Amino acid sequence: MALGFSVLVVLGIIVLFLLGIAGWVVGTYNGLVTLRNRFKNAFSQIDVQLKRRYDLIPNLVETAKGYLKHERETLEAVVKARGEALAASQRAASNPAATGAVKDLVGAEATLGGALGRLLAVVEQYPDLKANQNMMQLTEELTSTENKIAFARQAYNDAVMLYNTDREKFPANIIAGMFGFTAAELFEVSGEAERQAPKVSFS
Amino acid sequence: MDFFEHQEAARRATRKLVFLFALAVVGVVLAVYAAFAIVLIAPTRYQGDGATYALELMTNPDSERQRALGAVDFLFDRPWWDPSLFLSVAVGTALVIGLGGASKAAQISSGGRAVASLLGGRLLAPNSGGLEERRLLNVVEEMALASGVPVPAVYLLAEEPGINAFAAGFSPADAVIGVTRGCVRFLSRDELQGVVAHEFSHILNGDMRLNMRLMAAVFGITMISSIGGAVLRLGFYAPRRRDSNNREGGVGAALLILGALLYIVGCIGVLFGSLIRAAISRQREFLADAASVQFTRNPGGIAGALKKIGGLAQGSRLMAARAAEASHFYFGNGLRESWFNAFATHPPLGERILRIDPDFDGVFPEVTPEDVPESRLAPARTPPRLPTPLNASDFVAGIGVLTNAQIYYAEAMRRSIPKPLLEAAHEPVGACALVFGLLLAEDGAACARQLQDLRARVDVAQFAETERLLPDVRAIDVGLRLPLADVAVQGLRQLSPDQFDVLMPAVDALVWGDQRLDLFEFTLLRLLRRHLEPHFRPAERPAVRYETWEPVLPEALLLLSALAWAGAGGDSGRSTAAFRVGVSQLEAGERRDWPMAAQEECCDLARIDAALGRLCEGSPWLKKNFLLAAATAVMEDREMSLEEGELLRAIADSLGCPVPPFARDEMVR
Repeated sequence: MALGFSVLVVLGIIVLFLLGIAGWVVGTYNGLVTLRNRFKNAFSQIDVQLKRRYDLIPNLVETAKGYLKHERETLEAVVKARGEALAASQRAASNPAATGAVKDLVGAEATLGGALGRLLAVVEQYPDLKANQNMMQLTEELTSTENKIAFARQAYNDAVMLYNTDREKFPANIIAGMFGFTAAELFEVSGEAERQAPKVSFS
Repeated sequence: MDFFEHQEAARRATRKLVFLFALAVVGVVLAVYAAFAIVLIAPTRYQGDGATYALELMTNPDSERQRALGAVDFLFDRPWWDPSLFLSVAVGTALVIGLGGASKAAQISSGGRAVASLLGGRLLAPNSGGLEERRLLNVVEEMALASGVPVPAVYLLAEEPGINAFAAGFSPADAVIGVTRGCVRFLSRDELQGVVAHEFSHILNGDMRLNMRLMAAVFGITMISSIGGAVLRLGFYAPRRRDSNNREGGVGAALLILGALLYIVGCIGVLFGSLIRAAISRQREFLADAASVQFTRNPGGIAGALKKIGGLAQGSRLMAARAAEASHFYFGNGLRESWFNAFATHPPLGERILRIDPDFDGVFPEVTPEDVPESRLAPARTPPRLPTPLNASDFVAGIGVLTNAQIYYAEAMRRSIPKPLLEAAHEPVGACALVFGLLLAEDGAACARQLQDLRARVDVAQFAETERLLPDVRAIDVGLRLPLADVAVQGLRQLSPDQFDVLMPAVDALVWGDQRLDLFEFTLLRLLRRHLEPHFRPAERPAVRYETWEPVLPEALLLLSALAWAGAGGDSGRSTAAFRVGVSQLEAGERRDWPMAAQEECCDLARIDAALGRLCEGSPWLKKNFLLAAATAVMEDREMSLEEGELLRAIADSLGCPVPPFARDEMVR
């Protein structure tokens, strides 16, 4: 009996130890899930604003078309870039944590930003178009949406940083590796392309 | 039952939970002891029995040798009751249950959001585009404006085809509402409203907090069966063959037996857990159904939703693996209907429908996806007149109680907010801009100074949006300013913690820029703190610490003085009169000549905040008594201005008592 009792005690200690480990694993896992959900949720605000911009672009092109008879290429580039960015954004929205999803979107967005910049630069040379009421309103709204995207991007990147930092810390990184918590991608726009573009003249 | 009686009832239910939980722990400990007694003691009493001898051999392969060495006497006639064995079993079991419960409690300690993401919910952006989602968000927003609670975050359980919903959180300020895909697809607007009203009743009646505790407690008890399962699996894979190595084989067998026993005992734990859940949860579901009818004045809404659950093949069943541990949160039964009703978290569907709709014939309708025509997004109804609280007890009776007049009123109020502002309130940049706009001074020079300061503090996007929206913000009716801020809370919740840390100092700078704090600024500041801090900081769990007036009387007197000063506009005679009438309502003993605080003291925002914080820890009875006194003081001059009314609402809200808006006819155009 004495032996039975000590077996019991040893078993008890083992169970407690396993319990402690299990508790830690569960806790860490849940913490990572929470942070991952948070950055996924933060992406939804970027998505809303991007959609808004994709909706604005056809109107912009439609308005500009009448004035820019000789700039078909510029207009077509914008339309094409918009289509690609739209597809990339839908992929990213369905799962922002998927590898490459956000990166692809960033790439497509950079192309679209460049194309839009060229278009706006061209518009500068057509005073009639520039003075068009519709055009003024659209560019105004485009700028405001652009600002909101930047703001939402900042919130998203904050959430991604939190998640990535926690994911890389020891010993949480063991859990992250075991359960496939891959590093999240920052939504970073190479600011140069975006800001320079409007100043470039192609005529 | 009024709001406060519901809170008391929830507290009683919590005590009942503690009692039942203790009972269950004792039951489980006894069961575990019985299991160990069967394994360890029984063989010693029946030495001749071959089977138990074999069992003994299996659990303890060395005993044969021991017996040969003369340790046999030790095994005879051992009594069934062994205190040391019992003690170790009791401590071990309590530890497992305690650790299990604590881990779950830690997991959901960040409030409703944690539960929602645990159950697989995806946060719906308040400005989300989809028509179905828009409709759901509108229904929730209207219900929140009508009841005076902050608009809860809405989570969509996109993977769940059944019809179900839940509310979770520790207080109205961190409440979330979760809704399944089936809910938005199959329910009409009225039915959706019925379901949302049911969930709001859980929010208003303190059921959510109870549910959160229930979740942790029951998880702890059911933990033993999970451990049993794990040990069983471990024993299964451990080597059992005697010929390879005696000792290891024994360990495998022992693990198997122990695992099986723990598993069986764990099932007893699950049984207790289900009983506790059923005992506490079922009655509250009936109450919430009744409240839904009372709020919406439309039995067809919730009854229709329940009937559709019956008509849908999927019903209200949930697919998520984690559904079981949160089954008591849900609107409908999340699990397969149990063979034994005593264990169900929800009353049978038919019974629930019959209580609402006595003519129900038991035939469930065929369910088809509901199409959402544009026109139905904003139902055109003429808002009925809202009752104005005539006296203080009227005001107190209205707390936490919704009427359909208030819901219609909230619908109308929402519609009378200009569309650009409403849109702005739903997204982060616009929401910040609205708050800034509401705080900017009317006076041109002061406003320019404030704008200049603001430009240095905030993001370009926020600043540009503030300038763009300012004319619209200035133009709205004063009565719509706070409802607009209420809606904007949703947009502000989308900020990142870093962005929130930029927002609050900017707000403070705007408020204190002119070195004074007016009533509107105070109310708005309170609203932002109350409704945003639980989201960005760890959720605080309000606990009742004070049952009597003595420890918190100074706080109550300070707040009453502040209210008296605020209403009197500097006239010390009038403010003293208001203070006296208010104090006379406090049931804090015979004394009536409590001193009134000086006006300067009442302007100390930090002290007011601290006083509200302490009073918030009073019992529901104390809060009710204080709010009666406060309303009496405010209504001393037989009138309540808009600012006074909003201040009173803000104070009640700070105490966790949501007040529906009262009649302000000029608000609805």
